[in-house]
Amino acid sequence: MDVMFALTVIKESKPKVIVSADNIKGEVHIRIKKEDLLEFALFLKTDSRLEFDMLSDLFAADYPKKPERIEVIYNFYSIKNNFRVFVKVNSKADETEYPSLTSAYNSANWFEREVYDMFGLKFKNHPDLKRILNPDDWDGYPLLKDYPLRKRPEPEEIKMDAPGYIEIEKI
Amino acid sequence: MGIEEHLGDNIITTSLDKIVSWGRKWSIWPATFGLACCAIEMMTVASSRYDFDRLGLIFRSSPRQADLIIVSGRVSYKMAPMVKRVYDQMPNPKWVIAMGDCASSGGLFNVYSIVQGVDRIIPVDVYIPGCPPRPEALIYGITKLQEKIEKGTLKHEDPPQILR
Repeated sequence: MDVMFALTVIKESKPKVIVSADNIKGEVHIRIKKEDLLEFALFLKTDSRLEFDMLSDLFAADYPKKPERIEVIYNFYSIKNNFRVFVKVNSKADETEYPSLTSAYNSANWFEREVYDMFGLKFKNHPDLKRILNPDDWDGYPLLKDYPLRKRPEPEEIKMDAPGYIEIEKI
Repeated sequence: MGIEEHLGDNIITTSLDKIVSWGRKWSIWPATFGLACCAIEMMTVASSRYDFDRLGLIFRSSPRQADLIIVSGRVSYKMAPMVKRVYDQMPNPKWVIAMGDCASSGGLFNVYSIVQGVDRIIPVDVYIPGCPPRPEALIYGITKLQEKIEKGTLKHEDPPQILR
Protein backbone atom coordinates (compact mmCIF):
# COMPACT_ATOMS: atom_id res chain seq x y z
CA MET A 1 0.00 0.00 0.00
CA ASP A 2 1.34 3.36 -0.89
CA VAL A 3 0.15 6.87 -0.39
CA MET A 4 -1.88 6.88 -3.62
CA PHE A 5 -4.07 4.19 -2.08
CA ALA A 6 -4.56 6.47 0.92
CA LEU A 7 -5.53 9.34 -1.36
CA THR A 8 -8.06 7.13 -3.11
CA VAL A 9 -9.61 6.09 0.19
CA ILE A 10 -9.77 9.70 1.39
CA LYS A 11 -11.34 10.87 -1.87
CA GLU A 12 -13.95 8.12 -1.77
CA SER A 13 -14.85 8.65 1.86
CA LYS A 14 -14.78 12.44 2.12
CA PRO A 15 -15.50 13.86 -1.34
CA LYS A 16 -17.20 16.99 -0.03
CA VAL A 17 -14.50 17.92 2.47
CA ILE A 18 -11.60 18.04 0.04
CA VAL A 19 -11.13 21.39 -1.70
CA SER A 20 -8.20 20.16 -3.76
CA ALA A 21 -5.74 17.29 -3.73
CA ASP A 22 -2.35 17.32 -5.42
CA ASN A 23 0.40 14.81 -5.84
CA ILE A 24 3.71 16.66 -5.84
CA LYS A 25 6.71 14.40 -6.39
CA GLY A 26 5.06 11.49 -4.62
CA GLU A 27 3.78 13.57 -1.70
CA VAL A 28 0.06 14.04 -1.25
CA HIS A 29 -1.13 17.53 -0.39
CA ILE A 30 -4.79 17.88 0.56
CA ARG A 31 -6.42 21.27 1.06
CA ILE A 32 -9.50 21.42 3.27
CA LYS A 33 -11.55 24.04 5.09
CA LYS A 34 -10.91 24.79 8.72
CA GLU A 35 -14.50 23.92 9.72
CA ASP A 36 -13.93 20.31 8.64
CA LEU A 37 -10.48 20.00 10.18
CA LEU A 38 -11.20 18.17 13.44
CA GLU A 39 -13.64 15.74 11.85
CA PHE A 40 -11.21 15.07 8.99
CA ALA A 41 -8.32 14.44 11.39
CA LEU A 42 -10.40 12.03 13.42
CA PHE A 43 -11.33 10.24 10.20
CA LEU A 44 -7.66 9.94 9.25
CA LYS A 45 -6.84 8.62 12.68
CA THR A 46 -9.61 6.10 13.12
CA ASP A 47 -10.23 4.73 9.62
CA SER A 48 -9.05 1.12 9.59
CA ARG A 49 -7.56 1.39 6.07
CA LEU A 50 -5.55 4.50 6.85
CA GLU A 51 -4.66 4.69 10.56
CA PHE A 52 -2.79 7.96 10.52
CA ASP A 53 -1.93 7.54 14.18
CA MET A 54 0.80 10.18 14.39
CA LEU A 55 0.76 13.91 13.85
CA SER A 56 4.43 14.23 13.09
CA ASP A 57 4.45 17.95 12.35
CA LEU A 58 2.28 21.02 12.35
CA PHE A 59 3.51 24.38 11.19
CA ALA A 60 2.36 27.49 9.36
CA ALA A 61 3.32 29.95 6.67
CA ASP A 62 2.31 33.55 6.10
CA TYR A 63 1.08 34.81 2.73
CA PRO A 64 0.29 38.47 3.47
CA LYS A 65 -1.34 39.20 0.09
CA LYS A 66 -4.00 36.52 0.42
CA PRO A 67 -7.24 37.33 2.26
CA GLU A 68 -6.79 34.26 4.47
CA ARG A 69 -3.11 34.82 5.03
CA ILE A 70 -2.09 32.06 7.45
CA GLU A 71 -1.65 28.61 5.95
CA VAL A 72 -1.40 25.86 8.54
CA ILE A 73 0.18 22.64 7.31
CA TYR A 74 -0.45 19.34 9.07
CA ASN A 75 1.78 16.35 8.51
CA PHE A 76 0.02 13.10 9.34
CA TYR A 77 1.95 9.87 9.37
CA SER A 78 0.78 6.28 9.55
CA ILE A 79 3.26 4.11 11.40
CA LYS A 80 1.49 0.90 10.42
CA ASN A 81 1.23 1.63 6.70
CA ASN A 82 4.33 3.85 6.34
CA PHE A 83 2.83 6.72 4.41
CA ARG A 84 2.17 10.36 5.15
CA VAL A 85 -0.14 13.10 3.90
CA PHE A 86 0.07 16.86 4.15
CA VAL A 87 -3.14 18.66 5.00
CA LYS A 88 -3.32 22.40 4.42
CA VAL A 89 -5.79 24.82 5.95
CA ASN A 90 -6.07 28.54 5.32
CA SER A 91 -7.11 30.97 8.00
CA LYS A 92 -7.20 34.63 8.86
CA ALA A 93 -4.59 35.80 11.34
CA ASP A 94 -7.17 36.94 13.88
CA GLU A 95 -9.43 33.93 13.48
CA THR A 96 -11.32 33.22 16.70
CA GLU A 97 -12.89 29.89 15.77
CA TYR A 98 -9.78 28.06 14.61
CA PRO A 99 -10.03 24.43 15.81
CA SER A 100 -7.36 22.78 17.91
CA LEU A 101 -6.30 19.19 17.29
CA THR A 102 -5.22 18.56 20.88
CA SER A 103 -8.31 16.44 21.53
CA ALA A 104 -7.25 14.03 18.78
CA TYR A 105 -3.43 14.19 18.90
CA ASN A 106 -1.42 14.99 22.02
CA SER A 107 1.56 16.09 19.95
CA ALA A 108 -0.53 18.98 18.62
CA ASN A 109 -0.22 20.72 21.99
CA TRP A 110 3.29 22.12 21.64
CA PHE A 111 3.07 22.49 17.82
CA GLU A 112 0.02 24.70 18.19
CA ARG A 113 1.73 26.69 20.91
CA GLU A 114 4.58 27.30 18.47
CA VAL A 115 2.20 28.45 15.74
CA TYR A 116 0.50 30.72 18.26
CA ASP A 117 3.88 32.07 19.37
CA MET A 118 5.13 32.81 15.87
CA PHE A 119 1.93 33.69 13.99
CA GLY A 120 -0.59 34.68 16.66
CA LEU A 121 -3.19 32.14 15.60
CA LYS A 122 -5.43 31.48 18.60
CA PHE A 123 -6.48 27.85 18.73
CA LYS A 124 -9.88 27.34 20.26
CA ASN A 125 -10.11 24.81 23.12
CA HIS A 126 -6.35 24.46 23.42
CA PRO A 127 -5.60 23.42 27.04
CA ASP A 128 -2.54 25.63 27.59
CA LEU A 129 -2.18 28.26 24.89
CA LYS A 130 0.86 30.35 25.79
CA ARG A 131 4.16 31.22 24.17
CA ILE A 132 6.64 28.38 23.87
CA LEU A 133 9.80 29.82 22.27
CA ASN A 134 9.79 33.56 22.84
CA PRO A 135 9.75 35.16 26.29
CA ASP A 136 6.29 35.40 27.85
CA ASP A 137 6.21 39.20 27.65
CA TRP A 138 7.25 39.33 23.98
CA ASP A 139 5.55 41.92 21.81
CA GLY A 140 4.18 40.81 18.45
CA TYR A 141 4.43 37.64 16.38
CA PRO A 142 7.87 37.39 14.77
CA LEU A 143 7.22 35.16 11.77
CA LEU A 144 4.47 37.34 10.31
CA LYS A 145 5.73 39.06 7.19
CA ASP A 146 4.78 42.50 8.49
CA TYR A 147 6.78 42.08 11.69
CA PRO A 148 9.47 44.80 11.48
CA LEU A 149 12.82 43.48 10.30
CA ARG A 150 15.43 43.33 13.07
CA LYS A 151 13.04 44.75 15.62
CA ARG A 152 14.63 44.09 18.97
CA PRO A 153 14.01 45.23 22.53
CA GLU A 154 16.65 47.47 24.06
CA PRO A 155 18.93 45.67 26.53
CA GLU A 156 17.52 47.88 29.29
CA GLU A 157 14.05 46.54 28.56
CA ILE A 158 14.95 42.93 29.41
CA LYS A 159 13.34 41.96 32.67
CA MET A 160 16.36 40.46 34.41
CA ASP A 161 14.37 39.45 37.48
CA ALA A 162 11.66 37.66 35.52
CA PRO A 163 13.07 34.63 33.76
CA GLY A 164 9.57 33.60 32.79
CA TYR A 165 9.16 30.35 34.59
CA ILE A 166 5.90 29.35 36.15
CA GLU A 167 5.33 27.26 39.27
CA ILE A 168 4.71 23.74 38.04
CA GLU A 169 1.69 23.28 40.31
CA LYS A 170 -0.04 26.21 38.66
CA ILE A 171 -0.04 24.69 35.16
CA MET B 1 41.40 41.99 51.27
CA GLY B 2 41.87 44.31 54.22
CA ILE B 3 45.60 44.67 54.74
CA GLU B 4 46.12 47.21 51.95
CA GLU B 5 43.53 49.53 53.48
CA HIS B 6 45.66 49.89 56.62
CA LEU B 7 49.12 49.90 55.11
CA GLY B 8 48.58 51.79 51.84
CA ASP B 9 51.02 51.35 48.96
CA ASN B 10 54.31 50.02 50.27
CA ILE B 11 56.66 47.15 49.60
CA ILE B 12 54.53 44.65 51.49
CA THR B 13 51.25 45.33 49.73
CA THR B 14 52.70 45.72 46.23
CA SER B 15 54.61 42.46 46.61
CA LEU B 16 51.47 40.83 47.89
CA ASP B 17 49.68 42.19 44.82
CA LYS B 18 52.09 40.32 42.59
CA ILE B 19 51.76 37.07 44.51
CA VAL B 20 47.98 37.17 44.63
CA SER B 21 47.67 38.17 40.98
CA TRP B 22 50.04 35.34 40.07
CA GLY B 23 47.85 32.95 42.02
CA ARG B 24 44.68 34.22 40.41
CA LYS B 25 46.27 34.03 36.98
CA TRP B 26 47.03 30.31 37.28
CA SER B 27 43.79 29.27 38.91
CA ILE B 28 41.03 30.69 36.77
CA TRP B 29 38.04 28.51 37.38
CA PRO B 30 35.40 28.88 34.67
CA ALA B 31 31.75 28.16 35.29
CA THR B 32 30.37 25.21 33.35
CA PHE B 33 28.15 27.18 31.04
CA GLY B 34 27.58 26.47 27.38
CA LEU B 35 25.05 28.06 25.08
CA ALA B 36 25.57 26.83 21.52
CA CYS B 37 28.07 25.30 19.12
CA CYS B 38 30.99 27.25 20.66
CA ALA B 39 30.39 25.18 23.79
CA ILE B 40 31.43 22.10 21.81
CA GLU B 41 34.78 23.77 21.06
CA MET B 42 35.02 24.77 24.72
CA MET B 43 34.54 21.15 25.73
CA THR B 44 37.25 20.16 23.27
CA VAL B 45 39.67 22.52 24.99
CA ALA B 46 38.97 20.72 28.24
CA SER B 47 39.84 17.38 26.64
CA SER B 48 43.24 15.74 26.87
CA ARG B 49 44.37 16.95 23.44
CA TYR B 50 44.31 20.64 24.39
CA ASP B 51 44.16 20.24 28.17
CA PHE B 52 42.80 23.30 29.95
CA ASP B 53 43.97 21.90 33.27
CA ARG B 54 47.62 22.66 32.56
CA LEU B 55 46.68 26.37 32.64
CA GLY B 56 44.92 25.89 35.95
CA LEU B 57 41.46 26.09 34.42
CA ILE B 58 39.10 23.63 36.01
CA PHE B 59 35.41 23.78 35.13
CA ARG B 60 33.31 24.31 38.22
CA SER B 61 29.70 23.26 38.26
CA SER B 62 28.59 26.15 40.44
CA PRO B 63 28.90 29.85 39.61
CA ARG B 64 29.68 30.49 43.27
CA GLN B 65 33.00 28.66 42.86
CA ALA B 66 33.86 30.26 39.54
CA ASP B 67 35.97 33.28 38.56
CA LEU B 68 35.31 33.22 34.84
CA ILE B 69 32.29 32.80 32.65
CA ILE B 70 32.91 31.84 29.02
CA VAL B 71 29.85 32.96 27.09
CA SER B 72 30.05 30.35 24.36
CA GLY B 73 27.34 31.01 21.85
CA ARG B 74 24.50 33.32 20.92
CA VAL B 75 22.50 34.80 23.76
CA SER B 76 18.79 34.99 23.03
CA TYR B 77 16.53 37.47 24.78
CA LYS B 78 14.96 34.59 26.65
CA MET B 79 18.35 33.39 27.86
CA ALA B 80 19.65 36.86 28.81
CA PRO B 81 18.18 36.90 32.36
CA MET B 82 19.79 33.51 33.06
CA VAL B 83 23.21 34.67 31.80
CA LYS B 84 22.94 37.75 33.98
CA ARG B 85 21.86 35.66 36.95
CA VAL B 86 24.81 33.27 36.63
CA TYR B 87 27.16 36.26 36.34
CA ASP B 88 25.67 37.97 39.38
CA GLN B 89 26.13 34.85 41.50
CA MET B 90 29.86 34.69 40.85
CA PRO B 91 32.05 36.17 43.61
CA ASN B 92 34.42 39.05 42.89
CA PRO B 93 36.89 39.25 41.27
CA LYS B 94 35.27 37.81 38.16
CA TRP B 95 35.94 37.92 34.46
CA VAL B 96 33.98 37.31 31.28
CA ILE B 97 35.11 35.94 27.94
CA ALA B 98 32.83 36.44 24.95
CA MET B 99 33.66 33.41 22.83
CA GLY B 100 32.83 33.55 19.14
CA ASP B 101 31.20 36.09 16.87
CA CYS B 102 27.69 35.63 18.24
CA ALA B 103 28.60 36.38 21.84
CA SER B 104 30.82 39.28 20.75
CA SER B 105 28.49 41.10 18.38
CA GLY B 106 25.49 38.98 17.49
CA GLY B 107 27.42 37.53 14.57
CA LEU B 108 25.29 36.28 11.71
CA PHE B 109 22.16 36.29 13.88
CA ASN B 110 21.09 39.82 13.05
CA VAL B 111 17.52 38.87 13.93
CA TYR B 112 14.74 39.70 16.35
CA SER B 113 15.54 37.18 19.06
CA ILE B 114 19.30 37.48 19.64
CA VAL B 115 21.05 39.98 21.90
CA GLN B 116 23.60 41.78 19.69
CA GLY B 117 26.62 41.01 21.82
CA VAL B 118 26.69 39.81 25.39
CA ASP B 119 28.48 43.04 26.39
CA ARG B 120 25.06 44.68 26.38
CA ILE B 121 24.09 42.78 29.51
CA ILE B 122 27.36 41.88 31.29
CA PRO B 123 30.84 43.51 31.08
CA VAL B 124 33.28 41.57 28.88
CA ASP B 125 37.06 41.36 29.31
CA VAL B 126 38.19 39.35 26.29
CA TYR B 127 36.51 38.91 22.90
CA ILE B 128 37.47 35.88 20.83
CA PRO B 129 36.49 36.09 17.13
CA GLY B 130 35.73 33.03 15.06
CA CYS B 131 32.72 30.97 14.12
CA PRO B 132 33.42 28.96 16.16
CA PRO B 133 36.96 29.82 17.32
CA ARG B 134 39.51 27.04 17.16
CA PRO B 135 40.57 25.63 20.52
CA GLU B 136 43.91 27.38 20.03
CA ALA B 137 42.05 30.69 19.74
CA LEU B 138 40.31 30.07 23.06
CA ILE B 139 43.63 29.22 24.70
CA TYR B 140 45.08 32.43 23.25
CA GLY B 141 42.13 34.32 24.73
CA ILE B 142 42.84 32.72 28.09
CA THR B 143 46.47 33.83 27.94
CA LYS B 144 45.29 37.37 27.12
CA LEU B 145 43.04 37.23 30.15
CA GLN B 146 45.97 36.01 32.24
CA GLU B 147 47.97 39.05 31.12
CA LYS B 148 45.10 41.23 32.28
CA ILE B 149 44.79 39.46 35.63
CA GLU B 150 48.56 39.76 36.15
CA LYS B 151 48.23 43.55 36.17
CA GLY B 152 45.43 43.40 38.70
CA THR B 153 45.58 44.59 42.26
CA LEU B 154 44.36 43.61 45.68
CA LYS B 155 42.82 46.99 46.30
CA HIS B 156 39.12 47.39 46.32
CA GLU B 157 37.95 48.27 42.86
CA ASP B 158 34.50 49.08 41.67
CA PRO B 159 32.99 46.19 39.78
CA PRO B 160 33.32 46.52 36.00
CA GLN B 161 30.50 48.34 34.28
CA ILE B 162 28.84 47.79 30.95
CA LEU B 163 30.10 50.16 28.27
CA ARG B 164 27.30 51.95 26.50
